[in-house]
Amino acid sequence: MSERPRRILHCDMDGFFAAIHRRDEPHLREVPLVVGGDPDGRGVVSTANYAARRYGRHSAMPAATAKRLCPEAVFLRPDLARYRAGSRRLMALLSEFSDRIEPVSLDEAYLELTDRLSSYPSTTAAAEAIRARVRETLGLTVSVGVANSRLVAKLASDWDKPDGLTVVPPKQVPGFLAPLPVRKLPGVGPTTERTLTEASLATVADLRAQGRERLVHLLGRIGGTLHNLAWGRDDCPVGVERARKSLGVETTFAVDQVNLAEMDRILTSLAERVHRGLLTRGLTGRTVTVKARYPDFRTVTRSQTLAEPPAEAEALATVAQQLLRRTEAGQTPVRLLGLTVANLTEAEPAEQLPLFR
Amino acid sequence: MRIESSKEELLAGVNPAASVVETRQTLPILGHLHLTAEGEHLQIIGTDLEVELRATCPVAVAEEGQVTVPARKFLDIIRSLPEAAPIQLSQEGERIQILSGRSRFHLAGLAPDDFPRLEIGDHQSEVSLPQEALKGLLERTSFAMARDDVRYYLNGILLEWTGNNLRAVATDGHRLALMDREVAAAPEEIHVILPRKGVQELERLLGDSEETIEVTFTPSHVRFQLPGITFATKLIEGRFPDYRRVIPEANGHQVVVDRATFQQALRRIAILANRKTHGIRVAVREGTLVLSAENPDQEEATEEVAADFSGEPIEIGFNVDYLQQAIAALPDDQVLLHLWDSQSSCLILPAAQTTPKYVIMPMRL
Repeated sequence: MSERPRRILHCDMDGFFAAIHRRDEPHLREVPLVVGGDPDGRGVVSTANYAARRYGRHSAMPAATAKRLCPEAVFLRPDLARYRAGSRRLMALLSEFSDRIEPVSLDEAYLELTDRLSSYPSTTAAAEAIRARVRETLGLTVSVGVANSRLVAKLASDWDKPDGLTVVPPKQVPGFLAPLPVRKLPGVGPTTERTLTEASLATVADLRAQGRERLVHLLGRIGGTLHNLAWGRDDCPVGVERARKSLGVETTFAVDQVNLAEMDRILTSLAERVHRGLLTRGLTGRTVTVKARYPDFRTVTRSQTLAEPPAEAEALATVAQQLLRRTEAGQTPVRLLGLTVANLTEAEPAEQLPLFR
Repeated sequence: MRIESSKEELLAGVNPAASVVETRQTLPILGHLHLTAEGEHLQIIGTDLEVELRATCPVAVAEEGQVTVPARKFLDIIRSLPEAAPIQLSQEGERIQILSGRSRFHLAGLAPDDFPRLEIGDHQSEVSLPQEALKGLLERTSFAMARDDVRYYLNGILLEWTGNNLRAVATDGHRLALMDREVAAAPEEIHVILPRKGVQELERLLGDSEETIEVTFTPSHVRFQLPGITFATKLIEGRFPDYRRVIPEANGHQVVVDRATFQQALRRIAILANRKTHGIRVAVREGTLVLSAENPDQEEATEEVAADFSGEPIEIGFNVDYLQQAIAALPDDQVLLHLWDSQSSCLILPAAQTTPKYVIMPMRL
């Protein structure tokens, strides 16, 4: 029995935070704009407008680096209440097109249009309609990818950013994926990428040329998943996102770490990534967990629940560094460090200003 | 050890000593009280390794000695015994027998020599001051201390003793409380941070009397000698932030309101403030201060308070808890607020005095 191809859209707003500032504050339109942490401190860039990106500015870069690259840029601290309001309108608008919508963050969502085209002649026409509605009602631009799987829809929305629409028909999926570097596939982090590079596997086409067994042998269980993805086989459903309970990242080192100061630095960068992930989802959390894995694969976690969610990445990093002191790190080499924030709640749109800046 | 005493006399020592014992301990013995019968007294010690409280009560000592008892159980037993009957404590090895009227208890003690003592170190300076002076300083500032903040130096009160002035400062990074009090001169300048737990215990222990207490500062600890009780606490090592920088000059737009009226209005408006943010709007205009609150359920409240104010209207968002706590701690009948704009802190004072001072940062609503 041949199934009808799925029709999945991935909608990704273009430089969402910065775009909202540009829309509402005309004097910011022509200048390079960076939203994020304090450029004189250790914050990171949340979003940069395209004028700023021409200078090499991008998300997750330390704000201080961004300032050095582009001193004339205007630096803004995030205004979460406004982003959240914009996000609510965006999601409301998208849900008019499908009841199967899965917001990924404040400015990004998957839509399943299979059997849900209503009055539109094609998925492409529906995607165009979404882009027009976002432009009219929000005054912002969105990039949309259309494909028969989440994986390809997401890669497609990124293809012609900003303000683009990329449709990948089912027959073109293998060709679309073939030239992409392996790290574009979900699940391929720095460690997996390194393993693949050492095996001279650089592109999705290279992966496809391997048998499934070879990839499993090379990478373990994820090898099988990658083999499927390389062929565009991804049948993950689009649904209302289950309530997220935690958000975390971890990193495996090329060489086991013994130096506490170096591990503190790594935790700082993990804290920045987690903080940014929470920010774009409009969440905060009070329980901080550090995970450490020793060379013998013993894995320990140390947690602390705070009275208030850490407001800045720096505060999160400080807690993580204290938790690291409660592991054997420093005495025993460490091969993996992870940082997770749980006990999540919606971040407050009303912001209490601090006394000490 | 064998002693006899009354419920009232025992409780006077057991109550404060047991109150410093944490409900969850890292070491079993930290859940115990240390008892020493000597001369005509029973000394009771409770500790959590950060603070230590020693209480002395007069008892009839039949046999001197030392034991430990599980603090919570001991307190609960003494508390629930009848008032009239005398209480006898005696030791059988490490077991402690409590006899009173027709009640009999046996508690399991631990080796008294293992009980940890707080080493407070070489003393640096000794001063004395009236109980009510210290109590007043703590009571009017302690609400602004941080709780479990990673900036650990905020989880307490800064005490600064310079010349004849003793100053207490507390801040959680959003609001700040400062109070000055004229006292006898200290032999040298003192700058210490009392930890939160020590502050809370002291507030319980201190009375409103003018009786003086002796205070001993060492580089790492401070000890307070009260009648019948010695209380010592570790100090927080670390640098308190430069609080002077965030206290504005008293040159803002001035608003004077009646304290009781303002306090009642705040209490009512707080009912409908956003439950999570506690944010309310404070607007001042000619002759009036208007408080308003709305919550996500679309409920709203407005309160008007007569105010002595003339000038351009100002509107600022505040956490209603911070306003309530500051207003509740003010001594005067009239409140003086200095306001600038919606991004700047406000300064709150009693209308007729220069201390205490409360600084509150606004909320962006």
